[in-house]
Amino acid sequence: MNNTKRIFMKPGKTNQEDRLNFIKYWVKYIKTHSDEEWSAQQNILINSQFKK
Amino acid sequence: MFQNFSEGKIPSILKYSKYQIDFYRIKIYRSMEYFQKDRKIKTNRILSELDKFVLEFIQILEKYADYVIISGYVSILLGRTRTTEDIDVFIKKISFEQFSELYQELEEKNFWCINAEDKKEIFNYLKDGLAVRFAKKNNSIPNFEVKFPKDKLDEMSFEDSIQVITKKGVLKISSLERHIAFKEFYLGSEKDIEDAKHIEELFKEKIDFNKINKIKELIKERKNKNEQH
Repeated sequence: MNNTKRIFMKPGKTNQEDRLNFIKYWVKYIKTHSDEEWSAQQNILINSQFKK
Repeated sequence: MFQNFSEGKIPSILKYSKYQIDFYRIKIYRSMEYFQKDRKIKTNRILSELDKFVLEFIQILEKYADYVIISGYVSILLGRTRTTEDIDVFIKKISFEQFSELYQELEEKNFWCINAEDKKEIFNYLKDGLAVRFAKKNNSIPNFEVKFPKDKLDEMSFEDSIQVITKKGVLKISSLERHIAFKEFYLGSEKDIEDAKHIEELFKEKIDFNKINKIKELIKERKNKNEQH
């Protein structure tokens, strides 16, 4: 079980505000998790661009 | 300070690593840290396929020309959750002979230029202030967008660049302040604003906001100058 204290994202009232709130949320995630943890998630998106 | 670190006065495992203790999991882990005096960022990120592509290209490029990576990939390397079709890089002006050697090695290492095949033609594009793109042979994406700096403001990117130390090599990126200033005040699309916001949030305690404002003024001067022509 993962007992790490959760970080919550504030929903934005507009799409733009929501996207900026996600950036703040994600930066908090980066700051509170190891580089290996956050980059593994980021790489799911990035590596999908490449041919297998 | 960095020299002292390099001389082994502290164990290498501690070098450029920020250790954090997660009390909930009783686990010690390493996270990205910016050593602003040394102009270095150490990251223990798992390298993506894009990072590997960038490192492969840069390790050839740096043999022939000084370079600095600018724009979107800077934010991505430092954690931004998006991908990109190109990696922008400035190279210091080089001669045709130097460029020929670079081009030859790129070809040998399975890269091609998507703008032209003839090296003189490619070099002339660069000399004319245009960007040329290199990708893996038979591919177009992702690609490296290579250009010479076109004025003093571009050339300044080399003076305050930052080294990002990854697990498989070092990459030189533009300063965080320059990155934010250009993204916010020169490029300015929604994507650019978000790229800048990511860096600003991540390093807000270490960013020199006066420097951002100074670069902003220089960008304004450039815009005014361009409008006059």
